[in-house]
Amino acid sequence: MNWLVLLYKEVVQFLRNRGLLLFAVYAFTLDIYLAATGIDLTLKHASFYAQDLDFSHTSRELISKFPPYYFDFKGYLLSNSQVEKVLLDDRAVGVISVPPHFERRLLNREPTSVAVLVNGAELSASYLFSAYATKIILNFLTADFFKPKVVVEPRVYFNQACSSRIFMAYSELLTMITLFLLLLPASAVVLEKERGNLEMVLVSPLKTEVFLAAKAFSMGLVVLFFTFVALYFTVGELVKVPFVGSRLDFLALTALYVFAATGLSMFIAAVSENMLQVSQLTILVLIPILYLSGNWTPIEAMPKLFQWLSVLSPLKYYIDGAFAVAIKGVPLLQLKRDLLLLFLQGLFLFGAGAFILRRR
Amino acid sequence: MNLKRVKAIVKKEVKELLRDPISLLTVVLVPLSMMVVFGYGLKLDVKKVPFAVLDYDHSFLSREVTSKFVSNREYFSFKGSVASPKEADELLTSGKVSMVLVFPFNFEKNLNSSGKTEFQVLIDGTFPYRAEVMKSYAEAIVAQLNLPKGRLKTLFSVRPRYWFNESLNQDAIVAVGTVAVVLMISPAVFAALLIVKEKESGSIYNAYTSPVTKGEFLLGKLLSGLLVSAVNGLLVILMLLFLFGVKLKGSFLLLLSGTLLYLAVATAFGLLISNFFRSQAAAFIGTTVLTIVPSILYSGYMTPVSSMDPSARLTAHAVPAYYYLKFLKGLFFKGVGLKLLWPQLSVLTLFFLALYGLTYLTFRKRER
Repeated sequence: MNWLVLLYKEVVQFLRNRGLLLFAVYAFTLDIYLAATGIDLTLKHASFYAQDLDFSHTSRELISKFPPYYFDFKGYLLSNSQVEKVLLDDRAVGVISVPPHFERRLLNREPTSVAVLVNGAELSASYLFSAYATKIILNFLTADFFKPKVVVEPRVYFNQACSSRIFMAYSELLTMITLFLLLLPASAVVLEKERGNLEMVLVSPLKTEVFLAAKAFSMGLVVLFFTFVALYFTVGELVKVPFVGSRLDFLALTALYVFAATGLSMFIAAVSENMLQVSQLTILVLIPILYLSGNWTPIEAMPKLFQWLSVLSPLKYYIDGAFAVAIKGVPLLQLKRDLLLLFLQGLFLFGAGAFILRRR
Repeated sequence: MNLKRVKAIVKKEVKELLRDPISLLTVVLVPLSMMVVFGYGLKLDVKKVPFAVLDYDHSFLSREVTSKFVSNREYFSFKGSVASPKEADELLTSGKVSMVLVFPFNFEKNLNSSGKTEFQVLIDGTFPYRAEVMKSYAEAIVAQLNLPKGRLKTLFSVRPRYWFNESLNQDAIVAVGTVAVVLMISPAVFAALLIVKEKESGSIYNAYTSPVTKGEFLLGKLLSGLLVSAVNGLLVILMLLFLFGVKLKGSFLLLLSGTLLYLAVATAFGLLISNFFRSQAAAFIGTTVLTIVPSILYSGYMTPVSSMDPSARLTAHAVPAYYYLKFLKGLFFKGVGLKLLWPQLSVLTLFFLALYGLTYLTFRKRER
């Protein structure tokens, strides 16, 4: 009975903090919507220019081969300094440079080469731009000479169109869940510390563990509720991204992650004395967790040390599981390994956090 | 404006921080650790793609194609053969492999009879960027395979070249981009608590009842935030120059003054939020949500602003990190001076004036 009252107190306290509520609503709706619809990680409408030193029929035809869905032709450039300028100003992802006498050499079967200048400052677009452009140009150059013998037919599973929306929507949702889970319980605990309420609890018949567990539990519930809203409303209705698996599975998995991440939050609460420390520690913990989850940099491509450390990021298992459920439609029971590891991590963090908190 | 009072407020804030060693440590550690993690670790390279093979044909040709993938150890990592589509599905779904090559029956025979043959590559599309890259790898390997031996191979070439100005490379660009992200988040989060912490503890009544004017109070808060951030900013820039070894082509003085301006924008943003809310938790989470995501996604750090859709491009122009990143790129990679960088600096100045002005207007020297 006692702890139900405590639970009620925490939830009401959260709801009455209008600023917090406002940002929670923003983070789980508009923020996800903006990230999912605005950011594209694949090559779409990549701006490019052409430097045509040949000005022949063939060279113009070559440029016309770049499909408008992936590429966006911005115009011709005359001099090298102009090329340098558009690339350095980040106005183009790349420039296709056709050499002089291109058509004549091609017809006479003399060696000729087309240059693809890629703006290296574009992290995600530069590689795809050079790969696509190379493929298009090679196909164009060799089309008259031979037909390819072996044809590869790529088929993308789970996301046929390779749309970034699905990925961005879920990855943003998981990031927000993590941020709130790290911060809410820790700040709720530290607030009581700052105000001296914790001392009152220490001398009251109420057990400190119950008091803290109620905080962790209620904040977990709040995050779970917002996940629910984001899943059905933001992701399902606003961004209109398919959800393949069972939403219940997703929520169950999230509940387990709530456990692990809240444990981390308790840890932050245990070592912090004031909100400044909580805020800095939250970021200090959040950044490596986000990075090591492999959401942005594939784990295989990380430096070796980071690869080993990635085992420690609870978000890694959550992302694995959440993507498997949401995008691949895997039933929860097949994810035993991720579930078990999340649970163990949660157990350890919770235990350690509670232990340190009690010692103080 | 009594500068003595401003000084007193700055002194109080600095002392408060110095007397709280854990805070002091974390305040310095946050930007440094972000620089290390993102500067060293953030790579979008797709390497060592785990893949499996489902070979129905068991022919010379299917093995040759497979060996082209297997021998390319930098980009692919062979995880074994499977016997049925069910197994292939399972491997893809469980994430154990990201790619499966499927050779149909008569793969080789078709080539001999009709001069053309097809095989399939199944790709895990969970991470769209990675899927596109894997697709292009597979196509490149097959294109290599198709090129007839002999003269034709040398006849035409495409020279993809990454346009980096001399010493420039991808790591340098990531490191410079990280500076723009870090120097927005860390000062803003620090400043976000400066006013609201006093509201929460009640000590703001000291300010309400003292002769200090709101201009002095806010300036004091701004300067103390800026002072702490300036130390961090300097550390981060020194890391960029010496640890990451990025060469500065422009003027060092201009770099410092532009950075200070940017830090002022970030601090003013934090103060605005801090003034607006009554709980530290709300101010912190608001600042985090409003700085981390936009400055990573919309500044041009990860995806090109030039190819964003119109609404996203508009958002990008409302993010200070976008201008500062342009400024940094100009200084580090182009070596241009104030003559070309004044637009970025003036936009940042406008940002600062707007944010600080708004804080000034909304701050009340008594409880609402």
